Amino acid sequence: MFETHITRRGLVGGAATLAAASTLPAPFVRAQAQRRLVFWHSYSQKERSDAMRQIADRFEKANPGVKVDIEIVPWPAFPQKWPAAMAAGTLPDVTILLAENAVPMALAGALNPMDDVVKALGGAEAFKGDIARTTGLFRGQHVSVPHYVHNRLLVYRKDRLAEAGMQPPVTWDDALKVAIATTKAPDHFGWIPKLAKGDTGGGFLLWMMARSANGSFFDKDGKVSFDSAPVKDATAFIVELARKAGGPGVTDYKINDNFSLVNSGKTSLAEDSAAIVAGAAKDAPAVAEQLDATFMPRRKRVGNLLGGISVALPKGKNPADGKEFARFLFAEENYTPFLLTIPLFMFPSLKRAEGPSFFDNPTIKRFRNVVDVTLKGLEDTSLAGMEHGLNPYAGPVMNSYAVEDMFQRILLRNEPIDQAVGTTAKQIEKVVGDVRTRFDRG
Amino acid sequence: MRSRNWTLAAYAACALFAVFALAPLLWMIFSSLKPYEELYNFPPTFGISSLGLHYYEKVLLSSPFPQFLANSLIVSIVSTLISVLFAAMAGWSLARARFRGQWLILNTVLLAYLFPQALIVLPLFTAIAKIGLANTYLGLILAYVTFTFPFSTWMLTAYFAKVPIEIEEAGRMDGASNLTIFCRLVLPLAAPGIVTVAIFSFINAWNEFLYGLVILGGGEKRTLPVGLYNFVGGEFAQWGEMMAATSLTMLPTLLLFLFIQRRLVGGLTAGAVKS
Amino acid sequence: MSALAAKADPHQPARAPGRRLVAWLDERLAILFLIPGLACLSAVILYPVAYNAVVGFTNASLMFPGWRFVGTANFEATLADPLFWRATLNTLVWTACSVAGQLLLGLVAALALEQVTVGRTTLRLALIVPWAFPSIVMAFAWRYMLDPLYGVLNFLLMQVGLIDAPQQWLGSPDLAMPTVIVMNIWFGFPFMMVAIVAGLQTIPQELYEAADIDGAGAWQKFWYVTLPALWQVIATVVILRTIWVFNNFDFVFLTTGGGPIDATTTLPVYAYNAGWQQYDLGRMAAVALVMMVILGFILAVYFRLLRLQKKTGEA
Repeated sequence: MFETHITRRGLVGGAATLAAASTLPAPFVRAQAQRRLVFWHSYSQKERSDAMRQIADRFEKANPGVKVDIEIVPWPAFPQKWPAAMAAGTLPDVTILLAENAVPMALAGALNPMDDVVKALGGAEAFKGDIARTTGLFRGQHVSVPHYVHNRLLVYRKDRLAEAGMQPPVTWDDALKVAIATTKAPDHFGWIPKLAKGDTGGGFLLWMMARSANGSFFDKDGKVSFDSAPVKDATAFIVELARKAGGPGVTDYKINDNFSLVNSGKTSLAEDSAAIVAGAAKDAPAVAEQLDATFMPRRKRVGNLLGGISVALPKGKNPADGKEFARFLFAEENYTPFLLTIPLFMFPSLKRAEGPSFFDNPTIKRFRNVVDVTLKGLEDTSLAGMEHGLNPYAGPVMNSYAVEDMFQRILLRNEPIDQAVGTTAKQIEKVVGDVRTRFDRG
Repeated sequence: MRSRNWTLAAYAACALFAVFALAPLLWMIFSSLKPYEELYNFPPTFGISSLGLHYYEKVLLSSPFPQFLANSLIVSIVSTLISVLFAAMAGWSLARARFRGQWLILNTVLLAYLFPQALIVLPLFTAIAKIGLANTYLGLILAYVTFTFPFSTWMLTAYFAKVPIEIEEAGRMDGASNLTIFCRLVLPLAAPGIVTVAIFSFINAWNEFLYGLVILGGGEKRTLPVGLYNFVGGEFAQWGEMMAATSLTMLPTLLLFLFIQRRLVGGLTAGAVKS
Repeated sequence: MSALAAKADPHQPARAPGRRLVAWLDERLAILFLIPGLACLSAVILYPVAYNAVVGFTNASLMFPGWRFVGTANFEATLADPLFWRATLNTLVWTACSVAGQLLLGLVAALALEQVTVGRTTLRLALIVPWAFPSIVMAFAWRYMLDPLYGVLNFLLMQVGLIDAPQQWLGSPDLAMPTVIVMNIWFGFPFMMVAIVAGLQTIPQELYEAADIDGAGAWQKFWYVTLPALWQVIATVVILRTIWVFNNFDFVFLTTGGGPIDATTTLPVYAYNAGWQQYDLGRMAAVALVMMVILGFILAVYFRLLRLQKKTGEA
């Protein structure tokens, strides 16, 4: 009468068995009792995660008794994962991170300095340009070492330019003309800037253009210089671009949408790293055939934006092996093969890696101009908002999405540019001010 | 008496709902079968001649899918069982027992929902680590039980309140203990409610990402959402892979639902005879 | 001991001490049954709640070690921020419309499913699908369908003549909120449906038979039999869903990021930005506490309505 399939014995018994099973430590946890090394990275693609595992295997072989446990932490989750780990005392020994994320970690006391590692790799001079310092030097110490780097380029469609009878743009005016001439609404657009909220596309683009006009968001002491002619100039340029050649989706798109926009041919120009070409070569070979790149358009000079993906040593439980492992990542047999797991995605931070073994890769050869423009740009570049070196303001300013908000107010509500820049400058002052009150006290 | 018009209207409504509910999934599956070049066409292509399964192959072969699956199954099943069991106990207790403060307890358990989960990762993980459960299945299970227990308790309290008290009294007359009454008489009658909260708990555990990552980490104990996040959390969304991975992740949930539903229909006919 | 024995069930005279203990425990089963769940809950949840309650009054930061009490500064800053008030308004709209929509669709779907005999299992399975979507995938799937350049929705709506040109569903200030609400209804109605279907099954068949004898029509049966019987289940899901939707974060964050401008900035997104993007844990906790107060207020109104309904229902 009361027959049922959810019997008590089944329910309780099942729960008890599974609960008991779930508390058993997995065998691999037991095996590593001695020198466990925890390594976090965010190289989620199979090619790169396999390469990391192989390097770890080689490290284990070279250092008997060490067991490397790898955790893959997706990029977007990293900013939440490390504070949680720090609060609970489970920080890793080595981590890969975006260079800018090392600043809050260093300030919070989550990182061990890496000056020894830099020295062992040949000092800051062994790195390309000034990138060891611009990506890693904070308050006189190296808090991270760039694992690989890339630089923002202006990627363009050769066929569209040829069709419009245009040359690759050099100045802002050229860029605007090319973008308008290569727009064929609604099929494709000249240059779709990515100005969505919850993404730093707008902030990055404006920062590059402001740099190009010899301006900046704030100076090295954190004094905000946003409400200025260069920033207004750059804002006006991007707004005109968005209105005349950006299509209907500019306030919708995020930086990562670039891959689908370029691969689908929806945009004729795009600001991105060489990775965009790598993505096209993989997914849309016909489009990749038509891609080339030049420097970002300039007003007074080229405003380069550096992408720095770095190695850092959080305060884990095994700092000695951590240090060794960080060095090991840059060892000859590990480094270049890793850079080439997805060619064009990653460029060497170490000068010595710019050799034949890198340049002879078929994909690198095929897009040699894209590579050369990237490498040239890397000689004079910096992280967004970090042109005076690592500082604690750029992160909160970019992550406040104040710039994206400004573009949206101008584009969607027709707010006058002068007024919009003024309002946003005040917001940025507030953000910077909040950080300064704590930072200045040391 | 069911009029014919009502039945027709019901079918029409169901059809509409089904279209609304399924359209995104179908469009996603359809898109995941397309070659890359056709993904971003406008107007979109609807042809089927160029469809293929390459992304599914890639996902199944290129990620330790079986391991993620095993981890997810352990965490989801155990946390569902515990959550349902504890909630059934608490729900019955709150629905039946005549003691002061029932209402207070019901409200207190809602504390678990007072803060968005995204905002309390830090202290919650600290709490789990303090009791020595960081990086253990049990730690994550405990977190999931915490997230689903209040919901389940509320739901089951409502369902148990519907079970006629006379049945229990009859049991008591026969000399059955409270425990026997609960297990033999009450639980079966609340089966539909139990199934509902079981599905709720399972889906919650099965799809959760952030706590899975923070508590179990991104290593060998990765659950499915953490493992599959790789396809979307990287530098660019690998659309085809993501969709393929998603359908594969959703499959167990749907199978579970199908399975439970079959049993539920059986259990209900048995229950319906009661009167 | 004798007192205990006296308390034991008269039908079950106490025998061995073990038995007596069991009987004693069984008497208090109702209390015992509460312990495991509450123990789990307090092990995990008490600390975060207390933590937030304290941190809201400090200048704790993700970026800077150490903290000190700053009184009500975080609350003052929060309440003085116009965006906070906009976010509050957005959250109320988002919560009210989403929950109402989910309930309405869930109820209609559940009632419709009950009428259907052929293909019921398949239909139920179909209607449950949105619920099985992980939120990250849901966001991607909808963004893909709603894309202003290649989205299929624009194409279909243009085909049937509802719109003339592609719309920016998520990128325009007027459309963004309605769009995310529709997405949330899509995601949430299956849960309501399942809960209500389960509720429908606990309604004794005799009630309908009695209504038939009285010659009640379908509407009357729904109004006088179904709805009152479902009342408690509906009230429960509405309360719980309200909390859930109010506190929902990833859904909005992953689809619009709170934009365009401030059109979809809800309180959780606002709090998240303060804490995780600005590293300001004190501010985040303060916003969370203010949210708690607002939510508490909403729940108080619900409970008041419920009590009124109960009274009038009984009368």
